[in-house]
This record gives sequence, C-alpha cells and structure tokens, in this order.
Amino acid sequence: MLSVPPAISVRQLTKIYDTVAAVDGIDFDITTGSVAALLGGNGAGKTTTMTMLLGLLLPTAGQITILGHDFLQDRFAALPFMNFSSPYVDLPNRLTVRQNLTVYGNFYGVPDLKARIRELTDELQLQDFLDRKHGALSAGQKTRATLAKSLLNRPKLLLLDEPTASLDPDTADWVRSLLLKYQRETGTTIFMASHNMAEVERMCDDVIMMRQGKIVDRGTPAALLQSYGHTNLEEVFLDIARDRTSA
Amino acid sequence: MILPVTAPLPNLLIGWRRILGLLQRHVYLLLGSWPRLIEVMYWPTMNMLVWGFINFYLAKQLSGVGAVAASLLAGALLWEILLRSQFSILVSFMEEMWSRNLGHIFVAPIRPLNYACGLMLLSLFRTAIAMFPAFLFAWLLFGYLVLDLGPAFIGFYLNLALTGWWCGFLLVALLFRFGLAAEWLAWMLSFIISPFVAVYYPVSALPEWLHPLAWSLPPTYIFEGMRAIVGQHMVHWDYLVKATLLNAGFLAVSLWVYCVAFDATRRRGGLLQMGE
Repeated sequence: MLSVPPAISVRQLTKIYDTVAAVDGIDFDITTGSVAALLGGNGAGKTTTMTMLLGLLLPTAGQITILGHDFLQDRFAALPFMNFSSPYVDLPNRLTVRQNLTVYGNFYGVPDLKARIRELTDELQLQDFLDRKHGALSAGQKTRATLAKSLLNRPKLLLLDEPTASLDPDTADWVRSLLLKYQRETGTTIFMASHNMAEVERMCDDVIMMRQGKIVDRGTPAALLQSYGHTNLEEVFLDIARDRTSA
Repeated sequence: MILPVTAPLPNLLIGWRRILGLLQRHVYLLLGSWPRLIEVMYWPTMNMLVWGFINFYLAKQLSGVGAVAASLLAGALLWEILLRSQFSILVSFMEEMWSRNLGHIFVAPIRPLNYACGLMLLSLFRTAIAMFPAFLFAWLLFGYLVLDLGPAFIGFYLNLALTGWWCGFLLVALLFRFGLAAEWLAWMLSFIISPFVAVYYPVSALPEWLHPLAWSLPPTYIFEGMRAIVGQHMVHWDYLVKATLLNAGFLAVSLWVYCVAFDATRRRGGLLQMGE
C-alpha cells in the first residue's frame, strides 16, 4: 500500500526577530486527514508558526512542505488547496456575506460558484444574513461567514486560528460539530491553534505543545492526559506552560 | 471518504478570475456606497469648475490669452487623470489596510503581480467614473471638449494613467514598509511631482537647472504636448513616444520596488497585523 505523505511537514523551522527566537528549530509532520492542534501560552510561538504555514511570514531558516509542495519555493502550488479562518482577521466589513463569498470564490477559482455558495449557505445556515454587510453581523454570524469563506474551495488543508473564540457555548459547540462533520465527510486535514482545551480534547487526535518557540510535548489528548496524570487538558497545559515535567 | 478538491480551471482563466475578484471587491464597495461614489466624482469636477472660471475670467479681462487660458483648463483636467489614477491605487490598497483584509487576500493564491494588475484595472474604472462628470461639465459650462485634443487625447489619457500607477505603486511600497503610520506622508507625496511636470506652465517657466528633472518625468511630455495642440494646433507624436517609454521604465521599476517591499513585509510578518 502506498503511504500518504503528510499534509504538513516542517523541518528545523526557525524565526528570529532581532535576537529573539520566536520559533526555534522545530520539526513536525501532520498526518493527512487528521485534526491537529498547536497549543501553548502567549508568546509560545503558535501564531508565528501558523503565519509561516500560511505564507504570510518568511522563516529565518528551515523547510516547510505542504501537500507535497515545497512551500518556501512555490507556495502558489499549495495555496489553492488550503484555506484559513481566524476571528482576528476580518473580511471586508462593508461587503455583504454573499459579496465576500463571491469575491473570495473568484480568488480561489471555484467552479460553479453560485452553486457552491448555495451549498455553503445551507450547511452553515447563512440564509438569514447572506445579504447583510459583514460589519453588521454578530460575532457568531461573522464566524460562520468567515468559515464559509474558508470552505469555499473545499480545502485539503484547513488552518484555523481559535475557531470558536468569542462565541457563546451553544454556537461554539455548533461550529465544532460542523467542522468535525465536514472533516469526516471530506477527509480534510485540519490544523488549528486554540486556547480552548475542551475544544482540543473533543476535536483533535494530535496535539503539539509549544513553549518559548520549541515543541515541548506531543501526543493524542488521551496520551498526554495519561503522561501528565491529569483528567483534563487544561491541567496538562498549565503544567507545560509553567515548565512542570510529566508524571 | 475523500472528495475531489476543487476542479482546477486552466491557469490563465484562474489568473483572470483572481484579478476579476479584486476588481469586483472594490466595485461592490464603490457602488454600495453613494457617498464614496460622489467623493470619487466630486474633486475632479470642483477642480475643473475653478479652472474653468479662471479661464473664463482671463479670456474676458485680457486679450490674446485665449490659448493660455484654454491650456490651463486642459492642464487641470489632464492633471486630474493622473491624480485620480494614483489615488485609486493608493485608496484601494488603504481600503484593504483599513479593513485588515490583507491577511485573507495574500493567504488566497494571489500573487503580488495579480494584485497589482487588479489595482491597475480598478484604477482605469475609478478614473473613468471620476473624470466623466468633469469632462461633461467642462463641455456644457465652458464649451471645452477634451476630445478636441484629437486622437492624441487617448495617448495622453493612457500615459497619465501609467504615471498614476507607478506613483501609486511606490506609495503602496511605502505603506508596506511603514504601515498606516505613513498614510499622511503618502497623501503628501502624491503631489510631489506636480511643480516639475509643467501642468499649468511650460517647462521654460522653470529655472534652467530644473529642466533636466522636468524632462526626465513622463507627464512633462504630455502637458507640453497638450500645450502644442492648444496653442499651435500641432501634435508632437514624438513626445507621446518618449512619455510611453519613460512610463514603461518607471512602471517596471515601481513594480520591482513594490515586490521587494511586499517580501520585506513578509519577512517582518506585517501582512497579518497590517491595519488600523
């Protein structure tokens, strides 16, 4: 049987700002079709790593291979098959949800765009606010609109930055269920950064823990819980953030 | 089950759809907001009115200044083409910064040059909207029809748009480097070439030592060419050729500077945070 190459492969990835190493020579592979999370406290290097995986930040050293393409040499070979969603990076506020989806659908060259927007409208329940301006939406509606944008091109790799930040528990749960359903149906690889440990425990089968620019631990949520002798990931996170070793 | 991903369209078609997407984003914005649309048309029309009345006044008070007065109005209208083309590039880029949308744009498979092409097409569209009422009122109120400049007017228009683009891309590079902190500097620099390109007066009115600078800037050939048509009814096609060659060179350099500034911003990690 042919082995499937990893969706993301990172080798000796380093980002140095002046004299500070924000990311310090990390290596990891993300299995195709998995849901993986990058965890760490503020300043651990998660956002820097994510931003490099998106092609918005050039590393100081190291290699990134995404979907089999050398991302630093030719990111445009991989970008059409990736997408990204973050509550901290807005879509244009003065455009309606439909207009934003049309514009981004054209950016990604989505065939039969109108049908794809209809499909996403149903899946993400956008009907009520499809023709409202993005700036006039509630936080939950904005998250759904941004998620719709991130699913437009049916990405093979979906990068999410805190996908349920600022959502009420009900909406957050709905978003998590939707993402998991989508992942099961499509086999998309999801790689996310999150501070919500319950979310990571529920969604992810691979967790990478970072501190001070380095990977300090990795495993399935169950394996990490066992290794640190805790009953929830939050306590594991605190142990790692405070530099306490595993049990 | 792994579903097939988006069926790839031919590369060329996808490239055009990306450019179309950029155009569409700003057309939606412009047509969805009547204050923005009015603002686009307002300044060229106001400027034309002021110069039209000066023209009218000079023609009434002084004899033998008809050609000079007409060239003032023509200069004002042509200068607006350059300025609006430049502002279009600048404002469209600033819109992305104000809405913190650059992160989404450059995570999409949009190459910096795709983006630049989108900005140039958009500039043609916005400038046409901006200039149409000014041309119309110049004709209705002052009997001045820009088309009287003849076929050379098309060459003038395109060359001034080209100048607006390369000036615009240099200002975008400045914004990439310094972010919105340089916004006011960018507005100020938009006018920096105006004293040297013979908009309202001939190059001979400038001090001798400024002549090499004036003749190194493409719009000088356009404004001098315009004056030759208005004053002597003579078309200097050689001026148009020189302006086009200079513009092509300046545009190539400005796009290179813009790409270098884009890469420098990626090195610093500024694309995601860029905004207000």
